[in-house]
Amino acid sequence: MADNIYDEIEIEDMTYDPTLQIYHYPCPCGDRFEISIDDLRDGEEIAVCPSCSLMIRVVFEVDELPKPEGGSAVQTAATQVVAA
Amino acid sequence: MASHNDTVFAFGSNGSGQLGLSHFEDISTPEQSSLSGCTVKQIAAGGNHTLMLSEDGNVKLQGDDGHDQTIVRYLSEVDWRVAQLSATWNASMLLLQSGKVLVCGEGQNGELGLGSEISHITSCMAHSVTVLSNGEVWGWGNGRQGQLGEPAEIVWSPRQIQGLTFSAAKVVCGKDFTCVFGNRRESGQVAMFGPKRDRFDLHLNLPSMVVPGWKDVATSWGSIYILRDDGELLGFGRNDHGQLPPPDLPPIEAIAAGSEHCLALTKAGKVLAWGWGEHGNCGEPTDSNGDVKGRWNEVEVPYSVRAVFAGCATSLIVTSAHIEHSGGQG
Repeated sequence: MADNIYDEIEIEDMTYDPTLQIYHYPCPCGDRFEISIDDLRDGEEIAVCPSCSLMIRVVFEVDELPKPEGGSAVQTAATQVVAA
Repeated sequence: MASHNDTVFAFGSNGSGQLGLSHFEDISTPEQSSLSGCTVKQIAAGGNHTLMLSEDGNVKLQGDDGHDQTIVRYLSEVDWRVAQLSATWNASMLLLQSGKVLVCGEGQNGELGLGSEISHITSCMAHSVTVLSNGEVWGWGNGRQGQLGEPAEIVWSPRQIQGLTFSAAKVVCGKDFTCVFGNRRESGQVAMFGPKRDRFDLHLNLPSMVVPGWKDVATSWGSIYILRDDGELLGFGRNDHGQLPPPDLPPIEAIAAGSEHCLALTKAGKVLAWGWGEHGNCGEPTDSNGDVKGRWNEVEVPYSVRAVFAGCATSLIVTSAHIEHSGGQG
């Protein structure tokens, strides 16, 4: 594990903020490590703390992330077009 | 139900004034009780006291007050609404509308449901642990790393940590573990619960006994500190930012562990700091990573130091100085 990676945290232990669309986890500096769900979907796994140099590696499976809401809407729209 | 003022009549045994009359005589003819004057929802009676709950959630008490009046007065101060009452011989149970239960009175046979008294409490990032007066250890919060014993899971209400083979005297919590210490003089026993993913070899390195004994123990998020009676400070666990005690420390009087740093008050009255100091919490200087690693900084304050405390990249020094405070800043 690289020196600058503070910890490896399973995504189940992180908190999801649906408004900001980020996962977060407490940082020992008092702020929190953050990563956006879009970055996770892109395969990014490092969550950073905006207040210090520490980072964590998020342990997760891309396939098990919540599906984007827009995805199903697009699917529905496409289906409707076909039905029409 | 429309609000109205009921009038309550009472009769029978009244040696403690439990009928709410102006005297303490038993009576066989109903008399108007001072429990009158509000809309009665429920009345519950103990051996020598009577509790009345009004529709608006207030409680009145008559009779042998014991400890009960205290809590009735307390209720009126905090304005907690009561949903239901019950009473044992000499205790009262008040179910609040919030779903919590207040208990008061005598509990010589467990009537208050409080278990043993809690003698010690500690918390880390996401779990809390208590030591009871009978030596049991109970905890709640995030236990997914085994820090609350088995099964390793989130624990929503206090649960006894199983598998402890000795009577606990003190407990300290790291982010993913709990470390329990037995009686300091006699046994020196130590037990670890969690972390399942032990990146810093706590299970391997922590001794199973601390002999000849410890004076105090503390934990950062990933390290354990044991201060011995002679002032020697031992450290185990995470050390990537220099969290563990640096070599050649002078004799230590007291310690405080923050999230990833440590403060020590020496027997000579000086404050030393080391570990992760990126936010200035270990004083100056730090290395290019913001660490005070393998060495310590001495932090000076202009007064005699009484105690040290530490938090998440924060350090606090208590001095015995008496200074006039302007207050309100920041």
